[in-house]
Amino acid sequence: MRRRRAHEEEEEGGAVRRTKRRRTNLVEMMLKPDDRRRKRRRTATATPAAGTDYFDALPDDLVLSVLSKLSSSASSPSDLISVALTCKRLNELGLQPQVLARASAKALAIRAKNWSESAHRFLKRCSDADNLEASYILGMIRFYCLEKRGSGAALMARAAMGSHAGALYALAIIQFNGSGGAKGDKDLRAGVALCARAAALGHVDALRELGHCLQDGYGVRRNVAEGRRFLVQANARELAAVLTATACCPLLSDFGWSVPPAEPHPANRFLAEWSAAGAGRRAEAGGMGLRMCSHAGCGRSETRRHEFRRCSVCGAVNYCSRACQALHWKLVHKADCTPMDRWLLDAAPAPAPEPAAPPAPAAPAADMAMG
Amino acid sequence: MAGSSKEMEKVLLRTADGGSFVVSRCVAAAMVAISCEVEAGEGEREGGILVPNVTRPVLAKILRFLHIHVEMAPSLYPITLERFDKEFLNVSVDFLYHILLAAYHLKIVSLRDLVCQKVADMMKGKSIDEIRTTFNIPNEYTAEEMAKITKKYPWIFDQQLDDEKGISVEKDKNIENEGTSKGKHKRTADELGSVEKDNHIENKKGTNREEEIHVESKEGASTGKDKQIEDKEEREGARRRRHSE
Repeated sequence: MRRRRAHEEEEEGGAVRRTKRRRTNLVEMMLKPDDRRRKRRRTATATPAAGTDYFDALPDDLVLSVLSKLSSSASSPSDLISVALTCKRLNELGLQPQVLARASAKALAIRAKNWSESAHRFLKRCSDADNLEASYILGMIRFYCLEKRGSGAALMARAAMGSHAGALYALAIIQFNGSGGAKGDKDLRAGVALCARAAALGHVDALRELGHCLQDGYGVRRNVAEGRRFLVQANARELAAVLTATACCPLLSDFGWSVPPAEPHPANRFLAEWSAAGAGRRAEAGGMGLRMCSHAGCGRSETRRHEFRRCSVCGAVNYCSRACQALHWKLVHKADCTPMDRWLLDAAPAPAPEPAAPPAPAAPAADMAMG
Repeated sequence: MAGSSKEMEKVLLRTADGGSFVVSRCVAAAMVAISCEVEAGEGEREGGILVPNVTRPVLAKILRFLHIHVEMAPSLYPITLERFDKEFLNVSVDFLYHILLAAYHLKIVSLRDLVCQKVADMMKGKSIDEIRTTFNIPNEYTAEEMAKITKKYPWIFDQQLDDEKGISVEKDKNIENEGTSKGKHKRTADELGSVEKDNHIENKKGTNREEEIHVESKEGASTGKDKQIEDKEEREGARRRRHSE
């Protein structure tokens, strides 16, 4: 992994290639005396006490700062936990609240098939240590997978109060759909307020959702121009995120308007895997007929029948929110969406892309227009 | 001008094992532990300032770092500094350990954070045994103890296999723009296949889980109430709880 990062940094350096040559000499000059000294040192003094435990002589707060940096930059749960399993002192220090509070989202990325009581306890522990990501992830799991609506929402609220954009957006969707309650429990204004807070923090899906709400006058006074501004901003942020993630500098025309989807948040991935695994079980039990959001990166499932709305053209797909609908349209559905009377044709399905923009999902049409 | 010329004055630093270094005042002042002595003008005296807890090679390394970051930093691109930092810490674990301790005792925050991050990076992506060998950590656990504590964290072990599978799938996703969701569906279909085998075990776990979760959810609700809650979230949370019961 370090090799890949070094390679990426070299590519980045290519952008300053003109001054790089001068700077390279500078860096070499800076480093040369060290190399000489280092070589001398290696031959002169033998490595002292080759068996010394390096962590043993470090004071506690130094070890804690190392572990905090580890947990905040970990890219999988095993990065953090493996260290905690090496010895007793690291076990004790590695699971301190100070370290757990800094755990990144990826360090808490538990897979659905590995879900267990101990995983639940670990997430709760991180959440109690004021880790916002843990509160958000555990809230999502409890709300959608374990169907504990009250505690799930409370956990998400806790993360939202710490200004976690994902949690704010998730709560907004719950408000828009009235999830966990009856149809009349929808609170559009609260949803828009939460969405606005998430959008202010730069959350791409929230920006999109807010843009659509403004364009449709849904929960907020209709303002098409401002809605469009938000949609454009969402696209710009998404593109910027993808560019920084892949760490290369392609020309914009390479991407065109088909930006690949961002990597899903561990919480959404868990939900999607859980639903996929649960679909088998539900079919056996003669399930309740609750559908999933058709956007694969979302993973949400309905909490009551007909909670999600469907594409009005083909009726084959459902979405939890307009943001998911817009994204899924851009990625996949644009090619597959055909009007409902398709079954009348007995030809094999060869979905021709609809030249006319479909009427009801005006959002995707607007989105198409600006890419 | 007077301020900058004062900073450019040289001070003498000595180590316990006989090393002596002449550096500019600003560099010496960056070492917070001796900055009081530097301010008091001890460095101009005959004997210089005795820097505790470091040996000559370690202090030399630290002074080079401070020279670049304090004196030359204004005239360098950030990316040059980053590359310097990366190359600078390409040393043996032993030397790194000495630098870390010295930075800690001399209270040089930037170097301390840098070395901590480097050590953290060295720990990532390794198995437990590899970490032990890298840092000479003795294995204090017996086989049973080890088995017991690894059982507390079962979700990390399949993780490594899945990540390898996942990385190759995601690479394809990034390269091809079309059919991204198809790739994702394929992956979940694979996992579905492996999950069905463990289905009956999970169902058993499920009943135990629900009892424990009932207790934990009560905890969660009460801690939520303790904190200051904004109106919207409280209203919403209360509504949810009412409807879930």
